[in-house]
Amino acid sequence: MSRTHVRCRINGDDAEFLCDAGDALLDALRDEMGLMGAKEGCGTGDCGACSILMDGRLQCSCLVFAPEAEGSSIVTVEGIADGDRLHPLQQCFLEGAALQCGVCTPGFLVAAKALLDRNPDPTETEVRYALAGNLCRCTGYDKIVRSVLAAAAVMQQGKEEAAR
Amino acid sequence: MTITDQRPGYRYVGTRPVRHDGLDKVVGKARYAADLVLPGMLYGHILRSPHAHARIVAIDTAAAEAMPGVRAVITGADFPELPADDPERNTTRNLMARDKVLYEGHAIAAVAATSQRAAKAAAKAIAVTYEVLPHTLDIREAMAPGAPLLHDDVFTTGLDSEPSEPSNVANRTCYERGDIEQGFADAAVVVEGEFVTKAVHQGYIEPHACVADTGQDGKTVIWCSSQGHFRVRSQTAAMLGWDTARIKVIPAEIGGGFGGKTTIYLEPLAVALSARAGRPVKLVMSREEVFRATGPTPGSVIRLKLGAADDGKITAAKAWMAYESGAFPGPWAMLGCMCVISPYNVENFLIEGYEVVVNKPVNVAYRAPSAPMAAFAADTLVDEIARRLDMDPIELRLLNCPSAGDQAPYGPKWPRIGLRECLEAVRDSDHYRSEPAPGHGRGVASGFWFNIGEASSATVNLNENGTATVVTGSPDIGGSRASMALMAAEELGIDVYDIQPVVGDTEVVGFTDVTEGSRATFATGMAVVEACRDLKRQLCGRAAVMWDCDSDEVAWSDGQATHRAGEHEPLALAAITAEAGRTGGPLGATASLNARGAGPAFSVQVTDVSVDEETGRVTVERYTTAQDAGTAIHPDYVEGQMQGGVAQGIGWALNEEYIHDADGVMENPGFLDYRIPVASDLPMIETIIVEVPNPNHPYGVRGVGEVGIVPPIPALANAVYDATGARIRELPLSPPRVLAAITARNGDGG
Amino acid sequence: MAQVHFSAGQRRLTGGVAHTDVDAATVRELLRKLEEMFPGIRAHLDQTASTAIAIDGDIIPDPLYEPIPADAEVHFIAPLAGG
Ligand code: FES
Ligand code: FES
Repeated sequence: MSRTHVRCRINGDDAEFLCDAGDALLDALRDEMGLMGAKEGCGTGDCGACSILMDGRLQCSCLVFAPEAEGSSIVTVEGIADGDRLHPLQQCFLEGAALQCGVCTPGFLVAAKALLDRNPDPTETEVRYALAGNLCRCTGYDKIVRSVLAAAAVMQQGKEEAAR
Repeated sequence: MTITDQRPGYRYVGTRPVRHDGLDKVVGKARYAADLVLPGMLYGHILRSPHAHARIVAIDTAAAEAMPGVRAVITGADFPELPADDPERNTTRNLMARDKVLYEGHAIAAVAATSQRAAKAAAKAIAVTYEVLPHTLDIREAMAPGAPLLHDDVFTTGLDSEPSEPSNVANRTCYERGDIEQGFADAAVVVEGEFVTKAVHQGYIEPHACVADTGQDGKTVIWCSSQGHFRVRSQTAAMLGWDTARIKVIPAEIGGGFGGKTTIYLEPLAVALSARAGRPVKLVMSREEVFRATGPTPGSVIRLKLGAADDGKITAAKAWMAYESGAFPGPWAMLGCMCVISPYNVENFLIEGYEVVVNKPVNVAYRAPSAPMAAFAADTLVDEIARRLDMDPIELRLLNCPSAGDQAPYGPKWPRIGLRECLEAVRDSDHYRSEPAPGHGRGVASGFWFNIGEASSATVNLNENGTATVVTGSPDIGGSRASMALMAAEELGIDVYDIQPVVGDTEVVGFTDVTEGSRATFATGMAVVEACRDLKRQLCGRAAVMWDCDSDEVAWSDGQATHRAGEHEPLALAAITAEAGRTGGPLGATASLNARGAGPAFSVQVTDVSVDEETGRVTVERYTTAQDAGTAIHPDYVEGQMQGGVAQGIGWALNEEYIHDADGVMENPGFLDYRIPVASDLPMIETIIVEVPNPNHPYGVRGVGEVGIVPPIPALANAVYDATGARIRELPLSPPRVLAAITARNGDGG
Repeated sequence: MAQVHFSAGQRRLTGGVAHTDVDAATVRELLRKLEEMFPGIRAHLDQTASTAIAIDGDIIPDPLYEPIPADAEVHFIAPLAGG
């Protein structure tokens, strides 16, 4: 069986990989591209540990077939910082102790980024519903939700300062 | 909010620095076991039993071995049988079935191949002939005469006479004190009930994973996700019949455990496959395998009767407690007996426990194992007593609250404990002092857990530039690296970021027991403190060399050596380490200990819920938890443990359960149907850290990891009663069950 | 003299004795003396409790060589598991 050649952009760089038609994008990212940030918690779309952005949309990469990535632009947790500067979400997760074991963290960061990209000033309830596709068994979500709200505030403030 | 019993002025202990390993975890760099890739690595796959109970008649691996890409196939026959009295015998029989499979998902064979797909296909090609046997999944059924027998060598221990027939009941435990007849005679109120809970899973988000690389020298290196890599080493050695010296275990980052990663499932299989193939082998479970073959924590049937005098004093307790243990016996019923009435002083009691094997995966600890089910029974009935006597439920608990010197139901006298302080903290909280919103119900409950000490080792090395490396053998599940660094910083008087906390593999640090029983910060922290104190003595000695004085003349304070008589300017730690090469060589210290005196843990919680009377859905509207942490080293992670335990308890109470079909096959082995709480299911979880220092720890630490999961079930059940008037004694409190209870209540003339 | 207490289950092997005073400096000595007093008890303790012990309230797993302070209160209890 010949393998499919896929070209896309990953975290801002041109990328290409080979895959089989039935491969999950999650496996291609991890095994072909060596991007181990996205995790497999279930493989069935129920835990969100494998969350990525594909053309700006939040996806469970375990449910996306790898060939579907052709021509798309993908962001993984490895791509959300700006070089050495952490994304405010990453900074707030650290300061707010939003992670314990940390295995859910990549998925939460990506899902939270998707939320803040479209709704920069969410309420607690909006945060809770936007993150309802991501499972965390360690934290009870309290510190995650607070950290996302804190990051939203930091980003709002940054924008206001930039506008001034 | 923190309530402290006068804490000395610490500089680092009690602060909230960003954890040292945090950065790697937010940028996706942290390496968990499944992230490891080695050159030439093969992929393994495990063939598992489709039957709940069957005799293995024959296994034919020939077809699988001949398939393309297949490099090794193993079965139970590749592992030595351990003698009946070997403590790991059941572990090895759980890892690979021998003559019988005992639950659906029991491993029978494993394959290593050049790709995951090839390994899977080959596992499918293994032909197993089974003779299917009748199975038993229900405790009461398994205890009944004539039930299908799992083992013909299990005879009930602890009975009055030696049994002549094997049984699914592995043991009977009994705790008794006083005169229960008299106790009940003295009671003005007697309440009783039967409480039923289902098996639930720890539900860590990272499935079990490991990589093993066995070299031609017969030695192997294992990378794995485990709560204790030294136990992985000893269990793997036992299963393979190897000397432990042949095995090195490197702990990867661990994606949650909660007790579920205190035993092994994959490692000896990966080692055996790797030894046969001569290449590294990776084994990663799917989520489905995690549900079918690991965990869960026991289902239970508990009958409890309590009596209380009209002033609220509990006069008698009688308990009958049966815990299922899965395919092999465990300590679960015994633990349940020891916990059930521990938050109460009761003079007259009789507590009986039965450990029952059933055709389910072998049960494993889940945060304060056996205590939540016991608390469900006890704290529901205590709530009933409070209502019958028209007393405040916290006042009733205060009235019956044990304190230092009282005798615990399981025997010993209580040391200094913080239950009273937790009860008072909740009583005085904003939450408790405000009325529940209209239509909401409120529930209160308390919980107890022992906490344990055990063996820990730590090595602290000082670097030339005055920084320190702290190496311990405790895997960091929830921020323990930061706690170790804080304690070392406090001791040495240097900045917490000048300390690099490291989790060492089995060859770089001394033996350390599993991170379980809430022991890492307590026991391993003690070893860190001891090593640092040794270092301070050495530092004083080096300062004495530099000053050319007697070391008695030097004292250590605030991160520097000071001359007692003030004849020299103090020397900072970095000034001493810079000269270490010339004053006697590098500075380092190791401490290994068997920690004693892990102070018992208590938590008291209050919750408000609303119940949709149309659908039976319970919504948690508000939640507050108070817990005695002794001393919170890093309060963020103490709160995190408290909140995580509560969230798990809420899931257990409201949603989670193992569901099996008539053939004993699990019907909900995925997160879609085994639904754990998500962010939109929960409110903020308010925390009150109570600090009643543990006198046996240099900083007063008590374990905080476990007790938080104990009160949520009864707290929620009591709140549901308060909201609806329906008492529910069976879990989970899922919409259909709550709805049925509401309907029954209406039928009762409500 | 250590005061040794037996749980209801253990009392089957002590002929109903709930507690007894034993002069023993270590757990090993205690077990030896108990075996002399109540033949068969040691095997039972090993089997059911792996002889976890509480000495003055402090729970000690695997305590064979543990010293017992004078007048200590000793309970044999179940080995603990934990999450
Ligand atoms: S691994 Fe993709 S959702 Fe769980
Ligand atoms: S931090 Fe462990 S699952 Fe979220």
